[in-house]
Amino acid sequence: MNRHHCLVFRASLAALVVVAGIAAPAQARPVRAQSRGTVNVNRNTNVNANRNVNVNVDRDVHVHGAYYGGGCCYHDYHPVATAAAVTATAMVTAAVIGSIVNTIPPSCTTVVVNGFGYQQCGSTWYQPQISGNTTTYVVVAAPR
Amino acid sequence: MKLKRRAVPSAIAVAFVLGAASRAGALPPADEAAKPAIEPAAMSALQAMGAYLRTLKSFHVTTKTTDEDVLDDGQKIQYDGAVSMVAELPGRLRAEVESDRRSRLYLYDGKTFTLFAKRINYYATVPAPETVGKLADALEEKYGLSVPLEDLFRWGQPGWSTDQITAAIDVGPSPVEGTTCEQYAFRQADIDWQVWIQKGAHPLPRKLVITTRTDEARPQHTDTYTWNLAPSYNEETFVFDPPDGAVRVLLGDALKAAR
Repeated sequence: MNRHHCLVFRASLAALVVVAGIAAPAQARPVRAQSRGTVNVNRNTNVNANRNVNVNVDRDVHVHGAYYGGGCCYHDYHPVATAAAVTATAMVTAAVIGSIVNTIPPSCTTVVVNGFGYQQCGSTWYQPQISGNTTTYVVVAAPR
Repeated sequence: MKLKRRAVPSAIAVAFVLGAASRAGALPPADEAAKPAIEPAAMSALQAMGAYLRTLKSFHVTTKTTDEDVLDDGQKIQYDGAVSMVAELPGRLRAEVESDRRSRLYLYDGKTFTLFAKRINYYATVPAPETVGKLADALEEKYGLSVPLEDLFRWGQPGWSTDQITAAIDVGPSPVEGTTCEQYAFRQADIDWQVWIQKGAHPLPRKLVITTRTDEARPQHTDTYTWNLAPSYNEETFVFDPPDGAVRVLLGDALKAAR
């Protein structure tokens, strides 16, 4: 798969791979609401908020992944294990500094800079972050 | 009713009378209608549970949990999980959260907080305030992260209020896994919730159900608690020792933080 061709066929390729079922994690499906787990903290589990997040944050990621973080059926797999489907998607993901994705390409290298781990994928650097329900990757400038 | 039917024998009239009867039947009897929306017995039971929780110096609680996601078309997906938590109040905590989808270890020793994502071998460590209550607030505010089973630390704590409760019902006796409990139902903005409180000298929550009303599919969360009030632990219980290859990353959920 050549990068230049990917630019043209990226969306359909991503769709093809996912439909073919090669992806290790289940396809992320859009989740419009989730059950609230506490009675004493009024957390925003609002549908519209989630949708807005999708539009603003995940605009570069098409078929595979990056709906609302922790969207349905999205398992907490290591990036390396997420395999083929991500390859196509990775080329879709423009390296916009500050953008956030749920998955990164399979061929990244873990690099530790100043005690913190990064994923270097070609010329793109991702900084992983973990929460109670999600692992996400922020596109950052090359750390040094 | 039979008398009325005989007195007005036409089919239309019967239908009319039946309709009127069923409408009348939908109204609660006078004594139920007189019950307040907030039953004092339910509120005092909640207060007592909160006060009792705050007397606990240490505990080990395990829960079985279920949660639901609502897909865009309204279809609901339920998933199971489990939490095992050891707490020594006010400032130490260890919680293991396992589900089909993820595995997390929460460690807090009164000085630092660490979240460890076992399957991907990432961890995040941040400085922490001196009590679990303050930790819960700080994590929520700065990182959009919640302490597992955080209601157990919020009920009965200073500043805790029941003001948001708009309806409270004492449903009646209901055993939870063989333990005698009383079931209560509450309503507040956005959620309905029910709690089963153990009867007797140890009014512990034994089950919790939270129904989210902001989506018409009403996704539900449940916790079923098993308590050990004499847990065994040592200093190492609350301290993180990174396994081989563990990589330190950032703490947080940027999607939540951006809201």
